[in-house]
Amino acid sequence: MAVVLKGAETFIREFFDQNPLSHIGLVIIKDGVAQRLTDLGGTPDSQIKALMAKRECSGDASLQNALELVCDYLGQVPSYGHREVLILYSSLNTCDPRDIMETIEKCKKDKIRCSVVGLSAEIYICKYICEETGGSYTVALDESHFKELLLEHAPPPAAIAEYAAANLIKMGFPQRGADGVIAICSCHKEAKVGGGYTCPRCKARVCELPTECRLCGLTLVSSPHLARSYHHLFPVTPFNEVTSMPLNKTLRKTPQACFGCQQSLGNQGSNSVLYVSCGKCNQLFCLDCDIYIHESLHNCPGCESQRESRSYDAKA
Amino acid sequence: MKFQIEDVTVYFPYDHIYPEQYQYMLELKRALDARGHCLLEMPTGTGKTAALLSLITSYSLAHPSNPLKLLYCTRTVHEMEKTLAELRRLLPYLPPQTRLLALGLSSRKNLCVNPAALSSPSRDSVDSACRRLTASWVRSLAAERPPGAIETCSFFEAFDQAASGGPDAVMLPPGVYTLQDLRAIGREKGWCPYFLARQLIRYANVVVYSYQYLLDPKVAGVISREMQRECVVVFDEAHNIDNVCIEALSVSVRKQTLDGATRNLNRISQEIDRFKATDAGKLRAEYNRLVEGLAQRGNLPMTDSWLANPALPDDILKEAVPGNIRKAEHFLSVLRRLVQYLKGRLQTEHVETEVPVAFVSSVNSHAGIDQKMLKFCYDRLHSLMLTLEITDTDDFLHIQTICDFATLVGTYTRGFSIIIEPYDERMPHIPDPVLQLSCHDASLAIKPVFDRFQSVVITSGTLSPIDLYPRLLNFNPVISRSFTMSLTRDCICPMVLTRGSDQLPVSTKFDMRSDPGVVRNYGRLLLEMVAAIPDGIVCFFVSYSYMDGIVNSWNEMGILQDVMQHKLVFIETQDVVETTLALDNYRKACDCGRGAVFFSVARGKVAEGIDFDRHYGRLVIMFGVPFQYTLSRILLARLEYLRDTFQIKEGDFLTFDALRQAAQCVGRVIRSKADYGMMIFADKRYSRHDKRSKLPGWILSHLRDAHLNLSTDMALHIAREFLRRMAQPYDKTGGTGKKTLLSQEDLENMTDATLEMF
Repeated sequence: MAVVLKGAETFIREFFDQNPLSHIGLVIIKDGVAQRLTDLGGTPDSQIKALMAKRECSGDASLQNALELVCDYLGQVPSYGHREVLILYSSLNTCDPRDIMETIEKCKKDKIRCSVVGLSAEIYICKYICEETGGSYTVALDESHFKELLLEHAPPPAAIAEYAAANLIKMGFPQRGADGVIAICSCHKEAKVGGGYTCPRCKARVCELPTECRLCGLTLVSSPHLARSYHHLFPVTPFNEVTSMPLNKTLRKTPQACFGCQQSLGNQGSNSVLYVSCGKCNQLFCLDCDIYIHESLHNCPGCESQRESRSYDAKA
Repeated sequence: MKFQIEDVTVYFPYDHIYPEQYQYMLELKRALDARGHCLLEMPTGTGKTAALLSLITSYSLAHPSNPLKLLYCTRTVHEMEKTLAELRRLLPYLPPQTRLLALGLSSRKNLCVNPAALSSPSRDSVDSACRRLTASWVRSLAAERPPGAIETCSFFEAFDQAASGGPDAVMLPPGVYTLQDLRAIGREKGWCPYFLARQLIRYANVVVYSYQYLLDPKVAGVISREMQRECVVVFDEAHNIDNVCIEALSVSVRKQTLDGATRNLNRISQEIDRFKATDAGKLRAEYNRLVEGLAQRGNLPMTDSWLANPALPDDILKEAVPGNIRKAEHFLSVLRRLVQYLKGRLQTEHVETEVPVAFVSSVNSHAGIDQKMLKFCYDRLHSLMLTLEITDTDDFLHIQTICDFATLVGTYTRGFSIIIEPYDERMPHIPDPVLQLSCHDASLAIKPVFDRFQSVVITSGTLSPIDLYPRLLNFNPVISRSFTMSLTRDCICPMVLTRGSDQLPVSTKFDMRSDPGVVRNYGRLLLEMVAAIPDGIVCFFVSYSYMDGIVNSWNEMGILQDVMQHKLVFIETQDVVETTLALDNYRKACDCGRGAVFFSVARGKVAEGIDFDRHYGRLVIMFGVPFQYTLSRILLARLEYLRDTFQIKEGDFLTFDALRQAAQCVGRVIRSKADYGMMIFADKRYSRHDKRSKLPGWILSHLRDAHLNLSTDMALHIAREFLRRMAQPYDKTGGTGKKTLLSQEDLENMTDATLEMF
């Protein structure tokens, strides 16, 4: 039980790290009923807190009840979102009030993707659910394997064109307040010094991103968040490796510093160091920045700054 | 795919082949080359049927001058359909100019399309309904009368019309015809599918039918008489073949049978009187025919042919019927005396066992019927009923049984015994007298098959120990081999559980089985297992009475209620309909994730024919060793015979029989390589070497020493581990080291030397 809770906690953190824009809701299945623990929400801390408060298990499990409940919730999610259910299942059977096959059909119709991580053995019905709804079914061998399996579910699956109906959503990109400014934070309802972000619409102050503005309800995100959420849809194209030969030729023309970290690429005269360039903006990057850009930032700083300067040009 | 086995090009319907299939084909081919019989054991789920069919068809294609006919015997209609479906898969892989005609043959019940006849409930009544519509005298009568006055079967009339244009007129184009296809064709063309199939088996290359058509001399005489010597006979799932042989030659007579026979005799005598008044010529003609010899069945129209003589063809005397039963009235009085005598014997208070010789002499002295008369009873009755134009044969089953009995008793002096039991051993207060003529020698019924056909292949998933079968069936196989399964992972996990959770031994030994401690230990075992194993669990008990007893005590101890918390419980009963219903619900419970336990009985219907593959059976528990009821007179007599004739020790035979049943039960859970399942043998006697070594090789090879002497908690631990391991995704083709799926190139690269490694 402790292992599962621990695993779930890591998962929630990792999940938000990978998909900052996504929401998560927790449902507990025990004693034959499915209980809603938390509503769909964006902040990991409150979810984990709620989860830790309910550490017990008893009675029969009912997959059908759980799926029904989840269907109701996820039904409200707008169509551009992925609807996914991840079930951590330790029971070996399910005690259902009615025909579970109907519920599975319903999930399929609602495009809800169910995945199950089993804790003891392979159960046919779980396998069936996963197969029908396009999820994956795995069974954990031990604690570390369990975590591994769980974390595999954190990155979202590639977008499926038919599910993702394009439409516009209002979002605010708040500015980070200057250090040393004292303001009343809208989330904790107390005065706080420094840090913080300001909602661009109503100027309320929040401590953390991403969130929803408490006053005007605007979704507040930062650009890296958005990129991190959508990098699966729009990945940064791989950079080209530039050998040291053209380096020598273009030595005088191009600035010999990494565009990311601004450190010199010459690297104390050794010619063997590799560096890369973005295929779009032709900026050069060192290998460290390359890794950082592709694995956590998901934006090419070169391309982004070019776009900015171009828009400035247009204004001027 | 296509590959060479020695000089034969084999066409195989799949892209990959298991190494053991290749081995199997190789052995089979050698047996065919040697024109001998063979005995092959290969685990279920390794594609035996596919290997068999593709090799034999390919073999006969490779030897066009001497085409082989394949007679494939299955036990159930369901298996028949599966075999034909497999053959259909093979068809497109054969060279295009092949003309292969394959069909299934079953009883009228399964093939009839006439709605009037088909509405009859049982097999016998469909048969007789058919006869009522198609018997030659009915048809000739119908031809004389105005149309509509006498009912006939339009399907048969149409078929007969078509068939009168020679056999080619009713030939079907080459292909594979299942029973369903035959029915569809029958409906479409208006031909009777049953007689169409009967006609076609003479020309077909592959015939799939049931054991009885070859083994039961009554049926075989009619159906399989015309098969030529160049046949390959395959008995699939043949682990119980000796019992089938014995049943084919055994008769049991109850009080009801005798009463029915008396009624039949009265009816016959009325008919005789009627005939005397109206058509005395017919009876005279019959008499003359009988003087000349036996009823000439060969000239009878196909529809009139009856079940043939119950004795084996070689044993029927080709001489005239004895004079004292030639006249209908005389024969009738002989039968009356016989029935009367049997009635007298049934009134005995004690169990009596007699050999046929003594019985015959006692019949002779008490009823005045000698051996020769007995011998001819069946044919004489047959002839009489034809003469009397009796069509509702299902009403006359009783008297037929009596004549069956008489003929067998008159014909055989060895290998049989007659046992009269006044009551059932288990219920001594209820008189239920039964007189049994039981055959002890399985080789009697199968001997003509071995003699007549070029090659006989006996194959099954469980034929261990393989050297016992040739002795039981009294033949010399040119090849007998047992193959093991090549597996990508250890997908079966047999365990021998000897102790309960309190470390006390568990067993169903007679003196231990009612011990509450053992009962509780078994209950605990089940309880622990239902809590740890997903989906379906199947439990086999040694007998119905034991199952009833133990389930009762579990109920009293509250164990059953605890089991129900985890899984639903279903129980097999002796009623077929109830069991089918229970099975359906069991499957449903497994499907929807509720989980279920099925309690069943070894040697029962479920243990023989129902598969518990995939999630329907993740674990099978065999409670106890399924020995036969050793106090049964029939078994005792058979054991004695086996010891005297074949030098098989009683203990050996009993263990062999029990273990093959156990293996058969646990084999239900694995039906393919992708499947996985556990087997628990819960009895301390399984850990003994003499028992264990009789299990089939494919189970033994997975039975590790560490799993031999377990207690409940250890078994539970192993089960959990196993289930976790099995739930992981795996690679079907096997790792780099050991290939379990061979493609065409692999086979071509493979030399014989590498083959020996497997």
